[in-house]
Amino acid sequence: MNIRHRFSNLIIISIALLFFALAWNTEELDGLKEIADLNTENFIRWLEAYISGFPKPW
Amino acid sequence: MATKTQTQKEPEKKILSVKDQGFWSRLAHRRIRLLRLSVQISSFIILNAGIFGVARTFIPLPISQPTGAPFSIVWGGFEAIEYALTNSILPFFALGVFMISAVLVGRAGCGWVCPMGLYQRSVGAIPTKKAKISKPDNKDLNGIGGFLMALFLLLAFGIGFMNLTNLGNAFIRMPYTPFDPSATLFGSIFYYSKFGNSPPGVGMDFIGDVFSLYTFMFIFRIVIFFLVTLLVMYVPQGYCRWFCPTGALMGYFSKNSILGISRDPVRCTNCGDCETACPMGVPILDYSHKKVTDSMCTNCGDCIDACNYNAINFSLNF
Repeated sequence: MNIRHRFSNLIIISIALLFFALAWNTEELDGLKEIADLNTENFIRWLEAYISGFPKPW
Repeated sequence: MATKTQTQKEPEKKILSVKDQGFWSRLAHRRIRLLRLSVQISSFIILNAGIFGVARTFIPLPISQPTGAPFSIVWGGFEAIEYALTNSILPFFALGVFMISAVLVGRAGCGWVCPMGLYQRSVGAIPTKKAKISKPDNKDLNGIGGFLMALFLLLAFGIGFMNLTNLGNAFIRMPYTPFDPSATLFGSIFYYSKFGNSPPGVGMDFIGDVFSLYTFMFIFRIVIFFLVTLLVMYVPQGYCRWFCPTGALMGYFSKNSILGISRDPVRCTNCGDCETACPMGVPILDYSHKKVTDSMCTNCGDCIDACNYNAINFSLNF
């Protein structure tokens, strides 16, 4: 692995860490947590609710 | 990039093929394949640990694990990106996870953890005459995954930009999901059998009064799933290779990953067994011996098992 590859890896990791910092306490994490917080049973109900309104967008 | 090493010499002592060797030797030549199978099965159980009451987490993984699977405890990485974009949010966290894992372990998640990879491997084990795909064709077809990734991310961005999510549907928040065979296999079949507005027998109500768009979408998904199953029956890891947008996105960052496959130029005889064994059709011998820098390589290790000369191994490239 030459210096160019090392450098590109370093840049990708740096950008990823910057992304993590930017994502901290944002709506993205809230959105992910919102669904994660639902337990399986609630999740199925949640999905049912969406399914019931299915034909609208199509 | 395509620099074949010219210095290899045929070993003086003839090495027996795997078929001619004893049981333990044959087993040794399957050690990584067996290890990978056990990791894939364990991962599948862990990823769906909701069935044991484990709570869901907000962590997106760069694999084709559908978020909507009834017992999934993680987010599918691509779906997390779509979900953020359709909600007009930049997907920093999910993209960060993709980038970090791609740099550290390459596409190992595809080869060792992804449940769709396990399914394709199982279907691929059905004894059929596998199609032979030429290297250029394989590379060209690989572009489809990248195209699908760009298309659906653009679509998700458009949905978010036009603020269409108030249409109130799960699928419009993750536009690729209706096309995703993994979501059909691990999610939609379960939901349809439990809540579906169609009797069991997949869409037999097509000509009846109860036909609905939901039924149509379910049939649509089943058709795609069936086609993908047919494909992977004849082309090993066919979906992974050419269509998976998650894999395509990982491929962009994983070329120079720290974990990789390297070849010993002294031991390697350029016999081509590794290329034959590679489920992704990676042209291993076309790459430098130091590392296979192919965006399709999933670090599965099948080439390591296939090599009679122990010339290939995992390597860490810092």
